[in-house]
Amino acid sequence: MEAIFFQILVGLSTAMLYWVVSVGLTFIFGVTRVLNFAHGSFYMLGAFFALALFKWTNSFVLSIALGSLAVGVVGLLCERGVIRFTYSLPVAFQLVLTFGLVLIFEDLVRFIWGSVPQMIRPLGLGVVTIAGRRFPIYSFVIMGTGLFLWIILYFLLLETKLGLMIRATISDIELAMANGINPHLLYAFSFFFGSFLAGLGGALTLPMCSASLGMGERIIIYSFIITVMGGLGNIKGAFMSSLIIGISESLCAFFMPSLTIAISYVILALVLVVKPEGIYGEA
Amino acid sequence: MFFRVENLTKKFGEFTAVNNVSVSFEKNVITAIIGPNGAGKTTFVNLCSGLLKPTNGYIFFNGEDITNYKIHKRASLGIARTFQIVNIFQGLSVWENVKIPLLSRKNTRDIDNTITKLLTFFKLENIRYTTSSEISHGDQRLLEMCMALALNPQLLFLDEPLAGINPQDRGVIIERIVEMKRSGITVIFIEHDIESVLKMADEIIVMHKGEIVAKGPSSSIKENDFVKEIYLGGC
Ligand SMILES: Nc1ncnc2c1ncn2[C@@H]1O[C@H](COP(=O)(O)OP(=O)(O)O)[C@@H](O)[C@H]1O
Ligand SMILES: [Mg+2]
Repeated sequence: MEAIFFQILVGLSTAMLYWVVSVGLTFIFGVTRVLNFAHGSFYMLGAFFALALFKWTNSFVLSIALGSLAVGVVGLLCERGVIRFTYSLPVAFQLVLTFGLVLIFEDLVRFIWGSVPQMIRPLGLGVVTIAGRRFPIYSFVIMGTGLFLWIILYFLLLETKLGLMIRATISDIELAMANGINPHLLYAFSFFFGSFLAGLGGALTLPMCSASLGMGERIIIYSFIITVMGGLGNIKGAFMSSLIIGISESLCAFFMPSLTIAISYVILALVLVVKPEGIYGEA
Repeated sequence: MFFRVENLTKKFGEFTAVNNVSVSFEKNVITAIIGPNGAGKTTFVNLCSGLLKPTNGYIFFNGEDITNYKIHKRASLGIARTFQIVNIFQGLSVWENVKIPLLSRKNTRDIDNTITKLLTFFKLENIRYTTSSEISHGDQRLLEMCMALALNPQLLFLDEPLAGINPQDRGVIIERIVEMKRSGITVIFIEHDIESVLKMADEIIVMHKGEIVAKGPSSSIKENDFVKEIYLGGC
């Protein structure tokens, strides 16, 4: 019983990290209908930016904040620079283009930081003992960030004009335009904000694992699974799916370790069999 | 001239849906576009409102060439439209639906007052917090017009505003359309029901196979032989 509780806690922390990253992908898709492969690269960039900033400023909070904002700007530049020219083209162009960005960022990071994984010095936040096992306090920071993001998103979407514009655009882009909404402002914003979230996710992992070249690949797969499972472009769905994937992965790691890698795919498949459009997706 | 199109053509592949149409519209006149199914009426409105790009031709609004303006740009200039199939934000409340077209307007200081006024005009104030997918079809039509009006348009296109509305419920919509004209909005609408057309329209345009085959005051169009043959008599 205690072990289950502990694993759920561990899973919650993973889930919140998945949520931060995948809601960015979901947000971008919801507004622009672009499936951004480079989202994983932005995650990686977040880690490397924060790493560099940490060496420079010695402040973890500052390097996370500035690092992820910088990734937001990179996302914005990609959107204004190249991605926006593909909106009216067949979806294959967007896939090829964003995949091209993946390769570019991969090489750029290799060029600047080399291919050896790098870590920052420990933050020294320590651990607490829960159910007789040691649980890192830093995991609470991640959970807190995830919940805070949930509140921010709720406020942004339900209480602000920008949020109403975004909801209108997600619901029906053509009708939103007929109602005078300039979608390009929202496209730009969504890439800034979505990439910022990817960067934030990457930066947040720094105290737990090293910044490395391959780190974007794993997370992009999880982000896609979560985004599809929740219902493409559905933010509430991304939250629920993150919880489901994060927690079941953690339980699996404890009770059926050999299944851990497969469990997310199994759950995704099950969800799609029952509801092909995703948990909150519209048919 | 208030609104004018010149040699407007739209091809879908080999098929010409709108064929070299030149026509102009006066301010503050209600014009009906009639014609059989597939005549190109909706395509014409789509071209005028900016939903489609013409294959050929020009569109002028208040003397400005707006041919290459996107739909949101035209909306901000004062061109609004509704759709043949009701088009509202289904998941959002009636109130939010009306708020959206107001967001991009410059002067939105008392946005809430404006929404209340508009909802009252269309008699929708009692259902303002209802999700728009749950209100009646007639109310959805009214909501759609309410949203178009919220854009504060000078020119309003309505694509079959009475489609799917019971004859006994049509009166409210017709009344609102005539009222809009009184408040200075130029209305161009597509409609099949000839009785309703005659109640609203000052001018009638008849389209057939992508071309305008007749145009004139409602009273004279009624008597046009060609119109009787292809449209009024035919169905
Ligand atoms: N997007 C499209 N692609 C191909 N053909 C179209 C498209 N839209 C309309 N058409 C064709 O153009 C013709 C005119 O359609 P439409 O303008 O909807 O007619 P109406 O509104 O007068 O009934 C029809 O034959 C229709 O099939
Ligand atoms: Mg039509």
